[in-house]
Amino acid sequence: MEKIVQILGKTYYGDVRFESGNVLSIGKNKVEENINTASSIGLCIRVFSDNKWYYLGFNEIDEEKILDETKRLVRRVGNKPSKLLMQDPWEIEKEMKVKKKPEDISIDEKIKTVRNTFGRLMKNKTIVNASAVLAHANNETLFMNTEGSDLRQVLPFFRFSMSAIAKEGKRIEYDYFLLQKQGGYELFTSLDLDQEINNVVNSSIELLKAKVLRGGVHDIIVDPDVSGVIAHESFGHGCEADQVLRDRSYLARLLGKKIISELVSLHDNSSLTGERGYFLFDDEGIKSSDTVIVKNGVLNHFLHDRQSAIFMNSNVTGNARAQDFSRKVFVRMSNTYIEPGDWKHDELVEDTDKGFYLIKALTGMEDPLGGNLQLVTHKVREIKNGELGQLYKGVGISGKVLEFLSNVDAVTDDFDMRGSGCGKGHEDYVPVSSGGPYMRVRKAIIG
Amino acid sequence: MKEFILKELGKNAEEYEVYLQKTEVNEIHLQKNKINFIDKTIDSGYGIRVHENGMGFSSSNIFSPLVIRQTIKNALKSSEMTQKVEFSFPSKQPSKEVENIDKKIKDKGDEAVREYANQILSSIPKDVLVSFGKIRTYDSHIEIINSEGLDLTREETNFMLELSIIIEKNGKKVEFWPHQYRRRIDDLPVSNLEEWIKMARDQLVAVQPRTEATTVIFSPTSVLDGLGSVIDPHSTGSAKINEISKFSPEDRIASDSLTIISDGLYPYGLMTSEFDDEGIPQRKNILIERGVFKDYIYDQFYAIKDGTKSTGNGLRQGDTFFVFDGKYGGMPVNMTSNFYVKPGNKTLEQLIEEVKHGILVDHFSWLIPDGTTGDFSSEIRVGYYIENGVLNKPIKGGLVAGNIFDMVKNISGISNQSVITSGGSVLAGVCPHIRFENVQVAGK
Repeated sequence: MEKIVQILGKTYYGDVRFESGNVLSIGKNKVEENINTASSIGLCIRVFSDNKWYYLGFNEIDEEKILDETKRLVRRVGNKPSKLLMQDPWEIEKEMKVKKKPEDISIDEKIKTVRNTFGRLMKNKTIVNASAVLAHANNETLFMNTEGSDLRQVLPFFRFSMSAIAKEGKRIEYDYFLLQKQGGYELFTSLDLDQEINNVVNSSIELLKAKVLRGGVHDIIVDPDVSGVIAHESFGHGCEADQVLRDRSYLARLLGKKIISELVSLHDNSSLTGERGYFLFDDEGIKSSDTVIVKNGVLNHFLHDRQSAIFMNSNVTGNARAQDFSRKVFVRMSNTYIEPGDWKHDELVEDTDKGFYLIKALTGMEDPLGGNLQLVTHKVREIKNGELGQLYKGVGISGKVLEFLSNVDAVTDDFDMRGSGCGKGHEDYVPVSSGGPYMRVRKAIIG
Repeated sequence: MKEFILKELGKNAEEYEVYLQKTEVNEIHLQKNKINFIDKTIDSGYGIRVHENGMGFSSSNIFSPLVIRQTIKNALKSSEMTQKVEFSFPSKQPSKEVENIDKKIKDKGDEAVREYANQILSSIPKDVLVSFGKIRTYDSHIEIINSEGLDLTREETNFMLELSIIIEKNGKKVEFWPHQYRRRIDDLPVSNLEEWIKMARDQLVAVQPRTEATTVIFSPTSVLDGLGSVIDPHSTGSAKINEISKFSPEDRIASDSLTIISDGLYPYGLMTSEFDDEGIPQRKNILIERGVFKDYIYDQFYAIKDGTKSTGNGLRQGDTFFVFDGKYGGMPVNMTSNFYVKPGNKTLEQLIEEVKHGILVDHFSWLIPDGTTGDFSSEIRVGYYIENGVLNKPIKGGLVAGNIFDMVKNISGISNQSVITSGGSVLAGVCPHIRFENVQVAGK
């Protein structure tokens, strides 16, 4: 990498990033049992010249070929004047510590755990199939650039998921549990597995009786999962400063203005240790940080990479991320959430005469220019006279996100985060998490 | 390195398969009507399946002898430790020639991408902003070798285009955001820009729909995402054996007019190839014929489980996004090839003329029905009211919601042209416009 940086030294800016990863995944359903392993490496070389990015990507580490290609690229693009935020060089070398290394648990024990979980999910006769998956990975990133930074991070990833499929006649319903965080085996051992298995099984069976809700305008309460997807998909993608620079953000001219309910404050915090979007430095060598995007309803800050930061006269926020060595670095979110408020959950439900209580987000999609909401929930409960009642199947939420979040009139003191993957559009997946409290929203379009 | 992998495997395993892939990716990004990113990446890797007891799998993109040996060891260990399954790798069978290669991409992918980018840039009207764009080619070389003597090679190309087309008028900004894949660049001609710009312009005057149950026409892309996401998970041998299929052979599940084929041979279809991703010839398999479910499709694993033969439907794809360059990282999955919906006998214009009041949805934000239950709810990004047989005011916003299993029983018309398309949830389709009755719309 030193040799590459030396060649890149003749350009306006250049960096090199080496990634390596190992993953083990153990899964079981009624028919298949799999233990899958994978290893990967990749090298990404970036040069900035004439305000354009030039990339080279390799997974076969042939030193001579890589150095030749790098020299050829540097000769071709030269050192043309450009605008890019520069920073002082820094160094870090850190592996995130875990309490219990998954690698120290034998595969035998892990497969027993998966089989046992599967067996317990299948105990009820209404459950026709189920799945249990346990996976862990270690991802190492080395980064050097022409500023002189020299960085290394190793991040552990742990995933445990289960689902149960209930069937009655031709009707099929399911529910699932998903844990995805940075950490070790302690994430599994600290779970109340009995409780989680019961929740998944009972919910799948209960959904067989769920009714279909007719769409319309209603008062709703959204759970932390749905709050998080609204924070990330509906609101957050418009805060990515590359979208602002492209004239493709509904928030472009709203910095410093009150745009939503003062009860809502929203963060993107890549330094939130243990969450799925946690890291020490981003893919441009910038340190992770907590960015307060919205403070009490006022748009406070966008998320930046080096290019957007200099064009918009801002500080960098450490949000430059790529799916892997073969993909472009974009401005991306990390751990995005809405701050908890003062209300107690039960008081909020009791205070709501009539409405719907939306549970678990299944999918969500961005609309950075239009600021429209598009997300689908898994379940809905009717709220009648301050009590939760009839179960309905999931619904979609539509409308303008600024109007939707302006109609928030209560935020609870609960808080939960969920790990997932985020695409920029339909591709370029990076690990993220999102979350928040329960929120009540007046006059929401659901259906 | 292929020889080394095979030699090492031969020493350690009796039943095995190697899937090797090397892909050159060329890419240009646009930003505000200019090129701002140029990339060339070569990605290669291998996936190894071993059947000693259970089915073992391991993959890597590292070609050092040490890692190859470790990858084989991992696959063997995985096979030893998982539950015993009856399985045999397929031997070579005669296959049909297919068309799935773009010579332009094979010859010079980087030049083809640059030429396409320049054509786009020179075709943008003054009042239109291509805020962002991705233009990408894939040129792949794939080999499948197994212990049954199968040794196959295939070439394939793919092309991807994503554009954010923005128009501003009187302070109002609107966007149309096409994102499509094809085998050949010329199957997504730059002349499409005209139609996409029209869709963006129409949104300047779009209204939110009102809440009602009405007639709705889906575009080919919406048909692919809507029906493909739900019909596929219930039509496979995997779904049958796992007891999660709602279908049984000869069940009437849809209107008479609906015929769906898993067509692995459709010229330049995105899933078209001589053989599937475990080396079995692809073919045409009828899933639904005139509204009746005919039979399941199989990969090798589920075919053996069900005492039948594979239908060439063992394909490698990602869980959450479409994969062309890293297929070696996953095992074959029992899935539909090109989702072909047989055209009907009316033109799109006739389908519209017959509607007194309804909606044509050209694009949803992301139509991703629940594959298990068939439920969906999706926001309209580009739509039009139909009034007295004529396309009327554009629509944006609001939700179309329902259940795909119910909707396919309420088809009142299918257009007479099925076109190659790709969706946001399902990769490969050849679909027409379909008109559904009594669909729930939630809006104002």
